[in-house]
Amino acid sequence: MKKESIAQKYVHYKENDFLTDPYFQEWVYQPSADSEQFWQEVINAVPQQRETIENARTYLRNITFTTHTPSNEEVEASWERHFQAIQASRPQPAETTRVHSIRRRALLRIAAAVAAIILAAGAYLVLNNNNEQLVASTGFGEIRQITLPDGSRVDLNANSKITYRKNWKKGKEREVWLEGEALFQVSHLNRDTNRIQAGEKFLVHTKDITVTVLGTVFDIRQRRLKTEVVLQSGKISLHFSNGQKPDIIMEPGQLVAYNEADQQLITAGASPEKFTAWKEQKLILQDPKVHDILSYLEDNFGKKIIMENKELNNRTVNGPILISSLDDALFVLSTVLNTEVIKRDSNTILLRDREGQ
Amino acid sequence: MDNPVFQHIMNGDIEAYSGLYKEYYKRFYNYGRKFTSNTHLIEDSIQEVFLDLWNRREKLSHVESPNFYLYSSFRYVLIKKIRQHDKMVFNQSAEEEHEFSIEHVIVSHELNEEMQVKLQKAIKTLTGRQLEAIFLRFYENLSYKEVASILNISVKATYKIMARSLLALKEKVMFFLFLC
Repeated sequence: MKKESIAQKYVHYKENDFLTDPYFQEWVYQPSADSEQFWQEVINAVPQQRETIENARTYLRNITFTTHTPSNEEVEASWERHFQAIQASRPQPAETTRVHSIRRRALLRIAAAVAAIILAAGAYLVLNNNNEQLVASTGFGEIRQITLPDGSRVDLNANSKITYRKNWKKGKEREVWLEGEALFQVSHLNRDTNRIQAGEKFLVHTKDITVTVLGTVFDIRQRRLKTEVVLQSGKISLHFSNGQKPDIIMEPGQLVAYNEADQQLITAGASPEKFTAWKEQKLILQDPKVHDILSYLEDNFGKKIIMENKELNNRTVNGPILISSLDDALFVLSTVLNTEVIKRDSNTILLRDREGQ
Repeated sequence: MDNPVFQHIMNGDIEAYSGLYKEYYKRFYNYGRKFTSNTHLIEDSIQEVFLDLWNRREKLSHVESPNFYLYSSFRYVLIKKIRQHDKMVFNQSAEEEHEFSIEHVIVSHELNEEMQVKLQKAIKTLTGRQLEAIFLRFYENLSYKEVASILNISVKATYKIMARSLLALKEKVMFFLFLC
């Protein structure tokens, strides 16, 4: 660059223009003979900028960033979760059975990979305490997917928590403790549903009910005093913790609701797809009263919602409600009910009849 | 292919992969914390990026710079998750741009007090994006070109997010038609 054009380019530069100029940064952080020569020329061409340049250079040299370092345990725990996830994404053995003869070569390669994985897992087991508990939880308005040690998948709805042992031994019952709501897709260990071995059982405990599974998809919603279970496919049995009710064997498409307050038990037909619509960020309840919808939103988003006109609480609102955010859900609801949404404070929302109607 | 570790991963070498995962976990944890203090979101993003990497490991031979590939994927996924999360938890400030936060910039105490004050002021004139560029270029050793394209990717991401919210709005309108 000629002296005049250099002067023209840099004469109007301010400190922060130099700070953000990539070549200037280069000179400060990784000086080379070329950059050294170039910036000396700039200073010679526009001597009035000498102080600005020197300041900018000092600034850049004195900026650093906070370092956030995860603990070794966090790094190891994360790797272990990821390791389980990539194992679970492997093709299921049951599905590959039929193609054994055709894909023998491919299978051999898979076998080698599996052996490596088992080896690595074995080394890890030796180093770790077997009884350690893992907790996965979601905040208000958050949905998470978790892969359990056996490859079973859990979709955890908002404001919910599951606890399970870090290592699941073969031949032992698989157990999960749940608060809130979750959809379980349990891996099969055995395809013969009539002969369930103790070691093939998968148990989900809530405070009132224990669900025993072989391999299946089902949703448990335990909120306040109520536990609801909807079975999508497979077979499960329910056991009540207080021993007052007999065990129930559930069929797909069935809903069982238990209320701790009056110990009332309701069995009904249900559409599992609708019950688990929360996974697609939609809320579809069965003949829901406004009151039920508001309770659901309170449980999932952690805000108090007050309906001023109590009569509206008993209205039924059918159709899916988008629950991708509380704003979206309330917008839909308030339009249907002709109320306005008033944010009274950061934790309380008021639904008030629109005036002049 | 400048990273031999990537070659191992393509061959399904789990030990090499474990090493790579842990190294990037530390780096992305540090990088991610500049955007959010919600470590769940950072963790989920790292898991998502690597699950995708693992599932596509046989098709990675076209990746010229693994480092760039991973950084840009991570940034894209994290910003997406932060936005979704803000929207869902009813965050009042959800409209805010999600940027590299200025509060993580440290001014050296070796400077005299007057210069410290001046430098603090100068930093405030820089955008999050400009600070992020310095961070990526000189602390994470990405090339200038790579930094530029990483920060550009986020522009595209913004458009995608806008398109998605338009779609959500359409869905809502359909729902009203259905009700009436």
